[in-house]
Amino acid sequence: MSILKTRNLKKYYGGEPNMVKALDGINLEIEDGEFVAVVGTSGSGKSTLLHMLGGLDNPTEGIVTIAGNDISKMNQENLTVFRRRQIGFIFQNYNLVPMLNVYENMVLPLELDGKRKDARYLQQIITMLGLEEKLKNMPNQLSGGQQQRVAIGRALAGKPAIILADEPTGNLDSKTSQDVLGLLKMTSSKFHQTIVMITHNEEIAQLADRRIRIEDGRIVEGRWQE
Amino acid sequence: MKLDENNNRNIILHLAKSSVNNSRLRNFFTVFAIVLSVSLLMTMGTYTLGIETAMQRQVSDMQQVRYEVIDKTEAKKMAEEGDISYLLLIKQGVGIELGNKILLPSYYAQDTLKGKRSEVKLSEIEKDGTFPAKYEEAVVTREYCELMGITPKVGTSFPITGIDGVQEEFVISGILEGSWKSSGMYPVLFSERYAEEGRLLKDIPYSALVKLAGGEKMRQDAFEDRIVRLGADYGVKHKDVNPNNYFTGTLKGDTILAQQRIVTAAVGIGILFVSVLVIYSVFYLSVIGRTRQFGQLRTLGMTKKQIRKMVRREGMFLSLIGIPIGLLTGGIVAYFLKPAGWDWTRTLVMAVVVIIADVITVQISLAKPAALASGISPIEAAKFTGNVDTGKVKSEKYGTKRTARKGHGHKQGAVRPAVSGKLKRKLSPFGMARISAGQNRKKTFLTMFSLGVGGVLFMLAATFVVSVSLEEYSRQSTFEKGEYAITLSDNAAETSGRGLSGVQMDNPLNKEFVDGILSVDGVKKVYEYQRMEMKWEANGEAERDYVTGFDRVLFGRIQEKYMKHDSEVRSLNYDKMVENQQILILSNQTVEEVFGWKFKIGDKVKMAFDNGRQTIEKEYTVAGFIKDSDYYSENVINGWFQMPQELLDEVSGGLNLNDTIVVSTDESKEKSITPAIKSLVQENPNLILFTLKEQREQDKSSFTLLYAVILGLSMFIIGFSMLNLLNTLITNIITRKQEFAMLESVGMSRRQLNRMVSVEGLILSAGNAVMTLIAGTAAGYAGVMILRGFSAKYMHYHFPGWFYLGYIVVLIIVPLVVTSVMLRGFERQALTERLRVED
Repeated sequence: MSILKTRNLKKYYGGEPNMVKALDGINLEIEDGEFVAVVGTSGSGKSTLLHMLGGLDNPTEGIVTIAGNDISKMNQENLTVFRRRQIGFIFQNYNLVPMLNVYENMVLPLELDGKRKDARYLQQIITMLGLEEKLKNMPNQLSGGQQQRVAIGRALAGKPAIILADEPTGNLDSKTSQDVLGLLKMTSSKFHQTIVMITHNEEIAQLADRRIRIEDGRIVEGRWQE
Repeated sequence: MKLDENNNRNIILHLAKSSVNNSRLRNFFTVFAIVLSVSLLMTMGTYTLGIETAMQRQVSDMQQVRYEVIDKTEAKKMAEEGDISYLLLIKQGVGIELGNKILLPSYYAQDTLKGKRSEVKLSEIEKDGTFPAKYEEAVVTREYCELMGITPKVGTSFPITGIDGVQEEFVISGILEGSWKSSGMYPVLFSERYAEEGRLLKDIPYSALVKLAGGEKMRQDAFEDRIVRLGADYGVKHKDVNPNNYFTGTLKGDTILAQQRIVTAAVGIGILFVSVLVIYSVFYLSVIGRTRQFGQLRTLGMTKKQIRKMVRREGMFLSLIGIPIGLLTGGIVAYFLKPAGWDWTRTLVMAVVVIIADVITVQISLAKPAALASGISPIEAAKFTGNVDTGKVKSEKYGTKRTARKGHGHKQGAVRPAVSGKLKRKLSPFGMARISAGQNRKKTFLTMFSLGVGGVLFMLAATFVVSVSLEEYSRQSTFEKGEYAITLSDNAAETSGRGLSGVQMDNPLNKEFVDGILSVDGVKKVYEYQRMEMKWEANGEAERDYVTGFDRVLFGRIQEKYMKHDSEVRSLNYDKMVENQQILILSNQTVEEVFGWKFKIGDKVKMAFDNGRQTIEKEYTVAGFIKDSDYYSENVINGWFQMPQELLDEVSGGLNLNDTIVVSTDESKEKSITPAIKSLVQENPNLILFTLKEQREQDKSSFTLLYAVILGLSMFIIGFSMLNLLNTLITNIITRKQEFAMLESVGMSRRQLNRMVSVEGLILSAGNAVMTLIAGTAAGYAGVMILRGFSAKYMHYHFPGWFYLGYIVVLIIVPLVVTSVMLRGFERQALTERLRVED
């Protein structure tokens, strides 16, 4: 069953004659529990695609459906609420809230939503991510790899329909990158979590179940449907 | 050559310039704060100097001292003294009543005994006239001619009837310049011969108008000392030395002048202090916001010293813009407040002082932020997340102490409560706002404090405004017991020939008159106040003054209320006082000011009373002193001497001593009472009516102006506070643009974000509101008590509720509006772009 679908997704910047077609008719389907890597060179449109999938930006044309909901038709407020319930984000620069400690950062989306926390599940995540000793630390007391683990924890905490990871290892050394990727892979299989990861690194992309290549705003390789 | 001493001046300057060009908001706030502080200081300083200058200019063509009684030959000798630069002899005769105007026979010598005549401004004679030279020649005013039906032309003859009824003929030799319409006195100038021999002036002693060379540069006490000694050398008594108070008020060492200067300086320092707070916090926030940039510059090889220099230069650039604008604004405002006091040299000196003060202020304000900026290490900058109080471990405690720190490794128990239990800090928008405010405690405190200073000053001003009881102010002394005061005319006493007693012999304030007043519908009570004029002699001085009586009841109150606790009067006995012919002295301080000595217990005072039938002379002994200035509420007309009523009755010989009556009325019938009382008073030209209504109107207009000045000044200071609040709010939002985007990306809705940021602002406002409430109320209460101590008994502490409420409303609205406007501004940018923002 596909959890994510896009139809003729377009994102254009500027007007003629200098129009930039960041995404130019993307049709994509991702199955539930799948770990997908989107690869492409710098400026190919992969980050724009991720933003459209996460409802962080509005498409110029086309639709995005996540778990049966067309997010391209949602207003800002509904989209925000949908995002915190159904989508988890992992950013290259971690994007942790500096004034909150590790644990607070992790449960922030749940708290904002007023949801009850699943303590057993959270404990599982914390143990898996090796953050037991760091729960009370502030983000600036952590290394890059640790901060990214917190970001993964935060993305997982709300049991979202899909996790979108934007160059999650872009700021990390190769050893730490391996650790983080291993965690993502484990997450995907253990919790049957759908993950879409963006990377420009072919090697990293190899770890995913499926690889989609994007160039000049179009999908040029990977399992996709016309 | 050291590494940091290479030729880098230009690049630092360039960096500072480009930083200034890039931070428009910070520039605006800093320049605005500098403009505010410079213009306030400039206005205050120049205005204070302007008042002094205007006064000095005004007194420069006035006499410095007038010797009231001086012998002509002695005056001539006095003029030869080296330090006398001007001396003119004059005479001023007894006024002659002409209806409600008074003709004042005068003589001004044509030539001075020393100095130029123009050094002291006196009324000049119109061009076609001449100074009176012959015995019968006189100079008059046009208004006098009009009043008497005389043609105002040189050569016209006219008669003057003296107080004794003798008529003399004069010829107009000139007309006095200027308009005398509003003046109650019409002078008439006679010739030197007439001054010596004429009926109206021959018995009047000469007075001398005198100026000392360099007198305006002397200290006040030295000047007063010198004029008294000078007078004594030429036979002038201390009481006849009449210094020009306007003039002495401009001299160094004048207490009022010194007080004004101290107040100005204190307010000035207050303004500078608030400026330091505002500029400091603007730059502090600006430096925090640019941590990454400073880190980069450090990475690129900028030394700490260079960073410090760069931040300081930025401040200097902004000062270069703000100071001239402030000087110009302040100068213009000061000019319009006191055009007569404008003086370029003094203004320029004040400008230099203000420039120096403000440059120092800016440098003090920048010292800490500059040090902070220079202390940023490249590594720290890379890790910077927007929060200031980094480094310290602020781990929240979840029950047990952290085991990991002790090296025991991982313990499930230490973690579990965090996961299963409730969060200690609530992550609702409100909770997050509290966390944020608590994170940067220093920033929060600084803003609250500088806001609070403004709030406290505002409360102080507002307390003053609401605590003044205008009604009580207007009712002080005369109107304390009634709404109308009817008094014997001073003019009438002056022209009666026998002084006040002359009027009291046929006293219009008699029983018939009082009954007439009492018969007016709405009049409740009439209070009669008495005094008797007499001539006294003591300690070698002789003077005319008044004596007032007190009965047993009042004596009891005097002992209880108007004495020092250790006063001898407490042990006095009314009957003993009558028996021993003892009196009390009021305002002994004034006695010292006039004569240079005070009455002492046991002093003998000779008094001569004229009760219309006979002149009685008696000797009394000073038994004590009435201290409190509030005593005036017991009797609205007081002289220096108070005696038991029995003693007064002995000398008054049945003379009706009434001087003033105060009429208490039903104020709701004011409309019918006023015309009735007016018509009764108008029947007798020797009576004058004063009404509480007129007094209230007069007081209201003067207080309205005072309120406007006080509130205006406090608004200015609140302006500083609001500037600071706005800066903090806006900087807080701008520097956390990325953080907010991050929160939005993980699911914080716009409404939640808006609530969180608004609450952060409201926490600052709440802190300020509490500080203003506590410190402002305390300051206001203390202020009112201090003023009451200075006899401002019309002040009663009232909490300025409406003002405080207004302040709170502003404090609530500002953060809400700023947050809403700023966040709406962000929405124009896509979330993804905001997420990418660096710095």
